[in-house]
Amino acid sequence: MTAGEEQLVLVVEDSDEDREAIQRALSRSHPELVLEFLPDGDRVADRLRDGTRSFPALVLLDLNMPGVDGYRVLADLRADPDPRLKDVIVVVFTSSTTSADIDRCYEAGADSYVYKPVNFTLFRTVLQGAVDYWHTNDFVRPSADS
Amino acid sequence: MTERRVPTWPDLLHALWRAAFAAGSTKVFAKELYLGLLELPHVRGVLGARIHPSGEVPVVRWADHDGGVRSGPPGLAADVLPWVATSPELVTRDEGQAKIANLTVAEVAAFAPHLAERMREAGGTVVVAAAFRAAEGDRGLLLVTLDAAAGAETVATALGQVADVVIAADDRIADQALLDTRLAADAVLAEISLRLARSLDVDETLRAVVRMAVPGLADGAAVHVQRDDKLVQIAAAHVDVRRERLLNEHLRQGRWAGVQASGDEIDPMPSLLPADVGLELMTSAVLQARSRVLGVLTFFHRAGARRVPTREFVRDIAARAALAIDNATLYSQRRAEVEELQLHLLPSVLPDLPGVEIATGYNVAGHLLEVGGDFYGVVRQPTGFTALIGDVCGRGAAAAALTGLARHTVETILEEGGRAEDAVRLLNAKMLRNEVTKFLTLATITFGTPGPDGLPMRALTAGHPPPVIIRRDGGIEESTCRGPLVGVLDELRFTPADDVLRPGDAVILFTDGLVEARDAAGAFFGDTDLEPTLAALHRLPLPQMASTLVAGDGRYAVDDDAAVLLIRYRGDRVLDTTLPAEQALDAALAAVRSLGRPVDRLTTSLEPGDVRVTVDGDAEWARVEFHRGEETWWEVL
Repeated sequence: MTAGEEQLVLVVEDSDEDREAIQRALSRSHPELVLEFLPDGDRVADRLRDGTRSFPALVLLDLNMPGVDGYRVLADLRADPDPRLKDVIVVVFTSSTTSADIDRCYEAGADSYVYKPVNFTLFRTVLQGAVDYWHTNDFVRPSADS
Repeated sequence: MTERRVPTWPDLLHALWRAAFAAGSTKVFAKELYLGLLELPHVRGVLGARIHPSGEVPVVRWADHDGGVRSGPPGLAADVLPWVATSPELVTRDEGQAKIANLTVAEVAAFAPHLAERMREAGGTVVVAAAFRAAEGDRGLLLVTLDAAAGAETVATALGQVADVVIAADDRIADQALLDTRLAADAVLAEISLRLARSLDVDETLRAVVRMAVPGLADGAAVHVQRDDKLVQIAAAHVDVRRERLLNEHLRQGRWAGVQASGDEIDPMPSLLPADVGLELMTSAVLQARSRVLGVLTFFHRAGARRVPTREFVRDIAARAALAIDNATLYSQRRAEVEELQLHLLPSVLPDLPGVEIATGYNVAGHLLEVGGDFYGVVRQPTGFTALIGDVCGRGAAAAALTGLARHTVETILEEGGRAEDAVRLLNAKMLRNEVTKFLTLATITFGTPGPDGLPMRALTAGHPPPVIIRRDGGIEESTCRGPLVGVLDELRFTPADDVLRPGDAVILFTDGLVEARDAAGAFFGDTDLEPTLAALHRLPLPQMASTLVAGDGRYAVDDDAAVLLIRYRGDRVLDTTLPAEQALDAALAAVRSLGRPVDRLTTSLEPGDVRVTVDGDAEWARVEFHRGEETWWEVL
């Protein structure tokens, strides 16, 4: 990705409050990123296949959503024959820190697992930390020998 | 159509000041700044750079009338390096907080030819430069090239003003970042403290600690805990899942600077991790409680990471984690002592009695650190045997002492051939005489000599849940015995109940911890579900039945102490021999028929080889049991 290209982050989050919190957090720390929001997991694949719109550099995915939850979205993306969907960087965020939930996410193909705290300041910090990491790496998984 | 008004420099400066006090990054107003400078008279190009103290140029931008603003165009950072090396000698005066230099492009060409070439291509002939301080020890540099010296003074003034804006914005952003980091650290501490305080699972809690710290406060984290004189890695986290696996592996293999357990190694130091995890620095703090080193907490960072936790924060979090580990460890030790003491109050071996199977189950209350008062025993007597179960009210040392007194008093009298009700009365008198302030409940079943009808039994209860008979067909009958509890009344009147166990029948004695177990909806196990559960389990081997019951059958949470004692009468043993498999089946079939059961064949099939076979029962119920090595299986007919 070149410096001048628009960098889009697709946020899949069912909570209005959390969507607003993400908007506030990232617009301040990463004003160069464009945010697009989806309120549920049902439409993620269709949105990503829509060739008329920008493809996101990163997907921020809430795990606990009614209907199609984050695990299902993640598993479907990783199983998609389209390499762009299969390989898109996905940062999952959830309020759980239990080993079982983390392992399940890792197995499903998450790139980052971010704990979603109740405290907004901390939420902003962890979100910024995760996005900053991938931004610094140009939204590309670092190779093993880097 | 309205004519677009080109903003004047004062308008632009005003907008820059407003942006500077709202922005989270100077990047936000960079574009406006460059385009604004380009609007000044004679300006042909603008170069901006951020310079680390090392001389490295991490940010560089170029703007001109043809191409607009471009970030990091190829080669520009290298082109500007000679200027950076020479710039201290070029300064001619101060303009506000900026150091101003004025040169011609020809003069620039003498030491930075590529840079001069870019300026010429943009149409520039003279250069005005401003250098100023920036956040985190960096320097800011703005170079403006003009096509005539006439505009140089205006540009120098503007650059001085821009330097003021950028410095103010940088300072404010740095202050805000510091505040954010402190707020985040406080929030992490608060959440971690809550987690540490409400869990006694040390490992899971420490995993949560590293997870909460990454990526908010560090790019990676690990925790090691002292176990058996070794530091054991409990958890590691990295913001990048793939690199987390690598980090775990490197830490396990010792491919890093290692745990710094010597005390004050807090400040970022080289992690010495392989480059593939991208974590060049680390801070660590010893987990220490009551002068003992319990472990080490380590945070890892990328080189140039925006946030590195302060020394105070790392120490604070380590102190809290250490306290939690210490508390949990003390709890575990105390809990092990309670369990051991509790088991000492129970018989270590139950007697082996002919024609009878016995199994017990015991659940120690899950969260309490005091010994409970549930007990049971089986006593061999001259004419049979007696099973007993009891429950002393309360917990702790006094309850444990009374448990010992009760069990040993009753058992001693029973062993000498005394009747159960006499033993209970004697215990009652002893408790009242000694002014024991606690009471207890007790139930006994005295079994006589088996006869043609089965095994006779007399049940007695002293304020305890009556025994329940589990018939061989799954029928459930609660004994009708009744009686008052022990240690309160001077005189005890009992109503014992006589029954007979036929082969295959069982009887259960239990304490109230079993019936008071609750399910998720709050219903008691004993309300309506115990009897159907006993019926459903009646064909199981007794040890399995006992362990299933004290576990609440997987549906009820048994939180209190709970004891069960199960006795099954299996009748006469008509066969007990070891034979080759085929002969064993024939012998078993013959033995079953000898009991009066008209059976055609057994459903069991046996692998070749010797097998021990036993047959118990009567004309209506028979059990064929096979034993090979450690394995036992049976068929009920």
